[in-house]
Amino acid sequence: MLDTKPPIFEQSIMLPETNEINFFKPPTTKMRAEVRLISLILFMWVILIYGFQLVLILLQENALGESILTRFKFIGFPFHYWYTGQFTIVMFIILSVVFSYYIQKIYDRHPTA
Amino acid sequence: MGLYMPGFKLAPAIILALILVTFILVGLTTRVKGTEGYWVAGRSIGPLANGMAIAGNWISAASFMGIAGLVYIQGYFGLGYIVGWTGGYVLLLLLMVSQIRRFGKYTVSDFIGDRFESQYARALSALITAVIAFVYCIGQYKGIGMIFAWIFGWDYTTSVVFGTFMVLSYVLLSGMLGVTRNQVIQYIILLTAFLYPLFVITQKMGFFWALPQVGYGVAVYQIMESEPGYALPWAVKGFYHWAALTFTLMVGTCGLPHVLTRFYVTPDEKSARWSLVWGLFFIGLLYWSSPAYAAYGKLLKPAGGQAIADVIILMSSELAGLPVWFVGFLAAGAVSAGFSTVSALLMSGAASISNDIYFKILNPGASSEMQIKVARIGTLVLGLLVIIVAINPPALIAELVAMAFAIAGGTIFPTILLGIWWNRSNKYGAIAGMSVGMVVALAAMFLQSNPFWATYIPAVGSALIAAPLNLLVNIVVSLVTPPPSKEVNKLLKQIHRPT
Repeated sequence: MLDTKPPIFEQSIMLPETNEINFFKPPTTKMRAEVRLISLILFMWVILIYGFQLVLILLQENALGESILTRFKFIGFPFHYWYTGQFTIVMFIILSVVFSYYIQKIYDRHPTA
Repeated sequence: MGLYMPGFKLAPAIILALILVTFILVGLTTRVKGTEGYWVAGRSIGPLANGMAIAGNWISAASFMGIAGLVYIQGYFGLGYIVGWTGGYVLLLLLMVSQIRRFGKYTVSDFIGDRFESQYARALSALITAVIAFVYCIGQYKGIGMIFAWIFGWDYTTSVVFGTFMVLSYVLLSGMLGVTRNQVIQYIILLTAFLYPLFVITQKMGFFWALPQVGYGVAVYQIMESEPGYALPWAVKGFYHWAALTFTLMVGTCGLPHVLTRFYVTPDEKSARWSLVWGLFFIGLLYWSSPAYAAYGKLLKPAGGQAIADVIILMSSELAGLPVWFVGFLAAGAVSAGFSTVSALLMSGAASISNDIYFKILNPGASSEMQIKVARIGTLVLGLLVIIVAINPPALIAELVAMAFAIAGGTIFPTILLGIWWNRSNKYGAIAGMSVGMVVALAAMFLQSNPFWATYIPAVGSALIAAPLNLLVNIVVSLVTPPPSKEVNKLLKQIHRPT
């Protein structure tokens, strides 16, 4: 595969047993960086979707879920409807773009492992 | 069906025939090589065109007509299908697509068989793939049947049988002619058929028609004022069910074989990721627009209630005053989406049975003619069995498809997730986990009359329970049984090494 080793600063610091692939105990610096980015975007993704619904519940005035967020008009829509039906898709695309961009940087920084 | 325009409609029938013939001809003349050959001018067109193909592959009768039907009946709750069927791609991007691309083989069962070094795991995964295909197809058949009823003026049962005959002929003919599904062309046709009527309807109804996706918001607000339940969050079901649904659809996306294998054919992993991003955008274009048809339907009030929900896109168009040939585009679009999806599913289901069970396990000496024959027979058998349920479909189209997602999310997703991110997961854990997930998902489909299941494990949301259960069982069983061999470490290193 590699006839010459890359300079030392480009090699991932290999901990013992790099075969131990574990999301919660990443064995190499590359995987640690990877996992950090994944966790960050994943967290934002969860908050984006479920955080808003929980806010709806916190603010609701009756069992149907009516609140200031459902009465507020945003480009014609009831705001909560716009958020769930339209804004979440926009954010999914933005999160995906951000992730793809930064994960490529991580992979470029750690080309061998 | 066709309450306002009953009987045989010639123009839509012709449009449908033209679209299907176009698919076949284009698929014959633009035979593309392994990487689907989207190299035009520079490399960068690749992910964009690939993204369109991913969207074209993804859009089925459920996306095209089912979502509008669901939002029409269930209002805000139906938006959960939109969130679920787009959000899953983020999960796929973060956790699986790069690693799957590096593995580079052809089916999900190949991955599971190799990663867990087990023919039993491979066979179980292949069986699950066939079951997923079966359930997924029920929804498509319903859509095809309802649209055929509209086009030809027949009753539903006749339409489903005729539709099945047509779709199986289409699948087998395409297979025999060697047609490659040109999903870019398909996407363009589908999106045009879907969006063009929407501009016209929005204008006719007096809303902001330059961007109907924004224009219909006023309609929703209007509906909410006279019928609050339509747009208010928890009018139909509570947050738990909404969360269960969205979670299930998202993890299901990451467990569907015909979605995952779509990324093996990208040129490299970087373009796999960016193709996914573009795909999400192109899918989003449709999903931003679907609820508009539902809202117009609520305002125009077609007769028929729940029974016509799944064809609300047609009803809204008819009632808004669109001429029959124009509505026919929508109808043809829906049918072609359904045909294409059935084709993909039956082929992947039959390929599973033929390659992963028959060839790899039962009869390794089989010639390739024999394999092809088995695949064709499998396609026919699977395709015909679906009629049994589709004759009397138990739920709305999008719900039926969601159940297929529930199976995938409870079985395949957790297994592959652990397979990629935990080296200690072994064959016993995988098999136990997949089995448990399968049992829960299937039970949820049949036990909804039981109050416990209806409250906590809905049929369209069962993966909320099945997926964590699968993970737990996989982890526990893996830890109490011997670890995988050293060979697996090599495989894992390969799929974690950026290319």
